[in-house]
Amino acid sequence: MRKSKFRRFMDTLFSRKIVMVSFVVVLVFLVMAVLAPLLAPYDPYEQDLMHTLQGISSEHLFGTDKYGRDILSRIIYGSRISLIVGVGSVLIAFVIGSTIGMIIGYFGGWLDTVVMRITDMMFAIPQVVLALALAAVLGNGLWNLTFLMSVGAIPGYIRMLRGQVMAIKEQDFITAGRVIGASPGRLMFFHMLPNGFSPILVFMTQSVGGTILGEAGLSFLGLGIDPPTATWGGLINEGRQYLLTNPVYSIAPGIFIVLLVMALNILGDGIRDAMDPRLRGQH
Amino acid sequence: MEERILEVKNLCTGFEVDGQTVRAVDGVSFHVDRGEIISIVGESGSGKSVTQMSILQLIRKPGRIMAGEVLLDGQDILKYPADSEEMRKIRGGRISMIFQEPMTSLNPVLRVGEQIKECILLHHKMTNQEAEERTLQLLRDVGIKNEKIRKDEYPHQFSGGMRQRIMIAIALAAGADILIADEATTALDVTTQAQLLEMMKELVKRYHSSLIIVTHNLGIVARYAQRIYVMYAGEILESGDTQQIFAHPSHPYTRGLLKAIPRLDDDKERVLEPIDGLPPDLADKSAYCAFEPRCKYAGRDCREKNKPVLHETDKGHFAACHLEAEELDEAEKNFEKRTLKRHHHGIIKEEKLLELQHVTKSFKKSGGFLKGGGEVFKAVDDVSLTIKKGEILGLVGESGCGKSTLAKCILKIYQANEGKILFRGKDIIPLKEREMKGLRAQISCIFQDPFSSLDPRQTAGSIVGEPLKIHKLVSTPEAYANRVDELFRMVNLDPALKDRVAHEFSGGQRQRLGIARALASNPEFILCDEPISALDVSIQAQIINLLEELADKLQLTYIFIAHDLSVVKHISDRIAVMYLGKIVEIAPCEELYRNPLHPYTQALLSAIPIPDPVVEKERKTIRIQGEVSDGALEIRGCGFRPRCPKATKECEHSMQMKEYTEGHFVLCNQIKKLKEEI
Amino acid sequence: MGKYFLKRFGQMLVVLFLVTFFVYLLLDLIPGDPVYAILGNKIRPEQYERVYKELGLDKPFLVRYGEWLSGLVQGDFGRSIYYKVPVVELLAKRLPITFFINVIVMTISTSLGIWMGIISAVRRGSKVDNFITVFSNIFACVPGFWIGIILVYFLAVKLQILPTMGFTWPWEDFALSVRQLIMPILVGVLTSLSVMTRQTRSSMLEVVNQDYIRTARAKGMKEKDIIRKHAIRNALIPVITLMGIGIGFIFGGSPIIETVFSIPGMGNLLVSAIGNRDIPVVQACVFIMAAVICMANMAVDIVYGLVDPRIRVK
Repeated sequence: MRKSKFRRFMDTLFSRKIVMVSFVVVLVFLVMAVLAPLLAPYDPYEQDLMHTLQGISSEHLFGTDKYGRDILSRIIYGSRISLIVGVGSVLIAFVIGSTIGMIIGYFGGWLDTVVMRITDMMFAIPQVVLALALAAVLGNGLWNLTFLMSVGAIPGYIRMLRGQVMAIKEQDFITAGRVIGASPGRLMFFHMLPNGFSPILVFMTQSVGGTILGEAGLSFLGLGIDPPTATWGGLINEGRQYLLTNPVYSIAPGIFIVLLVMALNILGDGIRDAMDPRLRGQH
Repeated sequence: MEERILEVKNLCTGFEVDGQTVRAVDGVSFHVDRGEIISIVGESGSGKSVTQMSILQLIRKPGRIMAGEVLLDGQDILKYPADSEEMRKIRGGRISMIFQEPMTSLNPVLRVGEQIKECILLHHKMTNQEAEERTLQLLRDVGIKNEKIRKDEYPHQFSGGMRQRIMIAIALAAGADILIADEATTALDVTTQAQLLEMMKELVKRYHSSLIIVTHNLGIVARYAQRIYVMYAGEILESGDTQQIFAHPSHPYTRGLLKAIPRLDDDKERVLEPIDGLPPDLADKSAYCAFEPRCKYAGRDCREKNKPVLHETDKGHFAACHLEAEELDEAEKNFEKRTLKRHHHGIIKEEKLLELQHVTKSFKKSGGFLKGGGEVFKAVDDVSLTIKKGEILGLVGESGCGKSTLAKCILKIYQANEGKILFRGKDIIPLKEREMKGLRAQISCIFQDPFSSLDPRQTAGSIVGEPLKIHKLVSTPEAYANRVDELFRMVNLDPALKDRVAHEFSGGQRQRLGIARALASNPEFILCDEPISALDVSIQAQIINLLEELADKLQLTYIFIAHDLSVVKHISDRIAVMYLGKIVEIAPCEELYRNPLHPYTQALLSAIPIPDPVVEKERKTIRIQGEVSDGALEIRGCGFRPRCPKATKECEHSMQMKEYTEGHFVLCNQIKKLKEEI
Repeated sequence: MGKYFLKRFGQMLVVLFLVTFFVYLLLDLIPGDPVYAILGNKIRPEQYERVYKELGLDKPFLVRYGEWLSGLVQGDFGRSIYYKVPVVELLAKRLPITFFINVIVMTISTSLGIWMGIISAVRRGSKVDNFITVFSNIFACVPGFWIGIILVYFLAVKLQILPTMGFTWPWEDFALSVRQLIMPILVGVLTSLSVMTRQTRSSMLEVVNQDYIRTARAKGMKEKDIIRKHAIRNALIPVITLMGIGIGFIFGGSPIIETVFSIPGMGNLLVSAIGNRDIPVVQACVFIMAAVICMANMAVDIVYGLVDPRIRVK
């Protein structure tokens, strides 16, 4: 039974070609990140001051940067940062946000009011600005970056799970659970979470792309990870000064960002459509 | 002969589903004469609504009208494109429609007067002033008081019944010749339903237009329709004069329905005979009779011959069945007579199982800024009741009467504010959830909505078995599996289905699962909260019979909640009637029907139509005005006072339950006078 | 309605109060000694002591917060450590620029987004719908700074028809001002447009399936009139709520856009202040952005109340 349901989900998911293509693209990026040392034609940190800022050539597909490092190799290594930050921060935000959301949604009361005001407060600060301020506090570094990207997303998960739990709580099958004597824990984890999970999973897959964009923005502003680590946003920023000599320096990493984010978004939409056919055709 | 205003010929409407065409309407023909009231009867999925939507070409993708003609004054209107000028003039101008959902059918951001006026101006050349006056006239026609003020209000400021009145005003606005009421009163309370139908009947008569009542309710049909069309699986199975059809139903489906539905004037001992099985899946309809798989009369012919066509069995009476009336009668003689009927008196013990003493539950209406000054609203107001072991108590009332709140207090989903709820002599109100757990095994509940009451992510088996786990009633996995199988069989479900998830079952099957879950912990007491009102009429009897059978076999005690007095009659030993949080009358079953004392009980009984046109003709009806909400803010005295035809000054005083005859209690200050009247 | 307004206003004050506390607490945690940030590392201990006291760093956190908050209420945001001028002076110059650009972006992207969303929903499945959907899907995936750089490369570097950077008020030099504004506004609109378009579209699609649309059809109304009179107004109600989020989104984009085009606005100020560890400036910038967004959200809720009779008329 379970298997056939999963099959049906996969069939619907891949029934549209564009979703299939997106899935392959995401897969390619994952492979690229994992196998970066094997795939990159050069060491991304090795400077070659004799050959700086070269244009497209057969040796250097996207040219070289201001220290003569191979841009393609740096882009390949940059995918690691984007994917770790993108996926990692979504997971962190999910775990923290949904736990809080489920608890306040189920129990309500003053705790709910307090937490909701705090989420209001966090919603009032634009995510990028919040991340900027946090970057100043936490300093640079991969894990700090992952964490601070997640902070801005937490209130979203809190509200979402709270809403889910409050809606499901009113349904008769939860009342039925209470009538047969089920404990709050059993109701939350056996009945509410499985029923409220699919919209959250959809939301998660849809927000990975946005997080990667956010991370790129921070790196672009120089508040992400310190050089010499290669990040896509950082590469675009470095390349700005050399638009005249080597425009590919800025343009190429951007194309990678757009490709990955678009594939992730289409895949996210596809998962949503396959999970809940009622939502199909909406955004 | 009367002027034939509308004639539908061989209409077919299909829906594209997964690349396949599902014929929701499959060759339907019917007609309406001017001034006539006809009815299209059918259960959900029978295609009755789609038929009406097709007439007005309101079918949207993926639906499509595939064939047929709709003749309006002899002119085929299907040949006009759906969004043509001609078709638009017909919609609202010649034929108008009133839909089922009063809460969502009006635009929430436009004033109601505007919405009525809009329809007038669409079809008539009038000045704004004239249209305004006509709007006011229409509002008066449909019984909305203070029309000058109310026309400028928004839909959310009206109750469901009032909104449906506005929908009727819109339907009448342009002076249409044909009114289609598509389950227009189904979502409303019985007393409101009666008011609206009566009003529609009068208005149709006044304007000499025609009315098509689309409904599943055979009582309404018997009371109002002159002719009937019975629909099943997208086809018309029987049609004819109302009297004829009720007196001599010629199709097994019609016969089955009449045997299955409970009637207000039933003998208490009548056994309901359900129609077994489920309506067919329209996606793969067979080439022979659509009803054959569920038909008890069916012979070999029915499976071999082609689909039966409508043919005249009597003058003006048509049926689509291979069997003649005599053959049907003959077959009926051989039916197994169900003797099942519980022997009430033997079962009811003297022991009090559940006792409510002055139970009150109030809610704060949400207050304003800083949460000050919230009004208190008593949903359950000083209710006292006693239920003996083995007894079945029917609890009846319209929406908002507090019956569900009371149920939730008994189940301790809500915490009652005052009073005592004694279960086996022990008050459960002060109990903590932990202390309550043991009692939870004893007190079960069956819910109204078979869809939302089962966890959509769990298999049927684990839903039914959950109480066993929670209360640790079985020790081994084998014992668990055996017990779950046993529970499935108790409710007549195949244990092989236990790995399916809830949405793979039909409504009736889901309700059986709900019953099996309620039985799992061997309870003594089950609260049945409107367990059949969400089901189709042909299924309802199955569930009523099952509940009755189980009560008998397992010596259960029920509170059976319903909004329909004809349903509870069959199953209850005693009946309590609730109005605005109070029990206004409580009496042994037959006594209540024979001798209703409270004016509200009388009105409620009178509002329920009986599926028998002969009986309906003879009935004297008591009409009450207004709706339940009208009395909601009344604090002093009787809550029913604003609607009561017998109210006097005396009713403003506080009231006491009085015992009129033995076991017959009533809450009414007029009770002495009532006694004299009788 | 008055009550609703008061309640909403009270809520906003609570949120703003929380923001001040959060912002102050957060930036108090910043590592590094502000004294060294001001005077450099080579200072005498008594000099250090003096500045340390001047900055009030010897007082407990809550006292410092209280002083900061009371200053804030009086419009005093403290002194910039880096620029050595009152923060208010910096803001007076920078905030209007950010505001000016963002209001233009907001106006264009809201009206364009709503219009595109409606067209796309009404002609669902048509070529126009497909084009709009693909267009907004693509721009939802493109980093704003990258589009900015590409625009700079083509329009400013290659074709040399627009200046690469800078900001001039229109009354100072109208032609230059317009030429400088084109790219930043284009980037702002392109990145925020898709949110508006998608939301309007889905809201419209939901509305046209409602029962009251069926009622309007059964009255015999023209499809066009049904959209105009019944659908759009209902569909825009949720879109109004989204405008609050849209304002946040656009202000959140300011630091990046202003950096790309070297516009001396508040976003730019914030980025450089973080780099300079100029804490009073950071606090002021974050607080002002939050305040603008809170007020915008309140305004949106009030408009919402005015449009939706279910809230206006109880």
